[in-house]
Amino acid sequence: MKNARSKAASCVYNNIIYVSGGDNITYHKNYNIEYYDIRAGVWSEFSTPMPKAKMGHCLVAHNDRLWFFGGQEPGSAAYDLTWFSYDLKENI
Amino acid sequence: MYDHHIVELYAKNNSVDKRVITTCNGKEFLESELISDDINKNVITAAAIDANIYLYNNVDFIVYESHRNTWFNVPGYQNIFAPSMLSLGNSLYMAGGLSYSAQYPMISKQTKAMEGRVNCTEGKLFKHFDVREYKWS
Repeated sequence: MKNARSKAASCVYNNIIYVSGGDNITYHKNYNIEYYDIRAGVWSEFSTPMPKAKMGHCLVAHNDRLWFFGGQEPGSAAYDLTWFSYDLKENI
Repeated sequence: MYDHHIVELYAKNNSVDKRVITTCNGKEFLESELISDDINKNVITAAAIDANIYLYNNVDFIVYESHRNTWFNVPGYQNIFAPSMLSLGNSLYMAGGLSYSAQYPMISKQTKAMEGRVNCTEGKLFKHFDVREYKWS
C-alpha cells in the first residue's frame, strides 16, 4: 500500500480492493483513495482525492460507483454525517 | 481467553443494545465488547466466509468456527491498531493499521494507543490470509 493509514475503510469490487481515508502516525488528514488490482498485484491511486478527509467511515462499491459514508474527520471528535460517491470508470 | 470472548458476546446478546456485527449460517453475532472502557471499543472488524467468522480486536486475530462452536487465535497477525479487513472468495485482506512494538502489547486502550503512537511503524501493511491454509502472506 502506498499510503500509511489506520481507521481506513476498504471494500472489494470486480477483483479490485479500494482503501480510503484513515489517519496516520502523525494524525495527518488523509484524503487519498488507492486501489489494488488483485490479479496484477499493483497499487494505484485515484487522481481525484476525497473532498473531505474521513476515518472510521464505510465504503461500498455498487454499480460502478464507490460510496463513502459517515465516519469522522481526523482530529475531530464529531461524527461526520456527509457522504459522497465516485464514478469508478472515471477514476481508474 | 476464548471463554472470555464467548461470555462477552453472549452478554451483549442479552442486552438492550443489540448490534449485529456479522451473520454466519443464519446466526447473528453481535458487536463484541472485547475492548471495554475504551472509546475505540467499536474498532473491531469482522468477516464471514462459509461457516467461519474472522474477528480482529486490535490485538488478536480470532476465528470462530460456527459448526464446532469453537474459538481460536490465528498467529501471524497481532498488535496492529485499526486495520481494515475485507473478504473475497477464500481470502481475507487486512489493509493499513499501525504496528506497535512489543513494548505496547495492550493497545486496545485508546490511552495506550495515543501514548504508543510515537512508537508506531508501518501503516502501509497489506496482508493476505488464505482461509483454507490458515496462512498469512
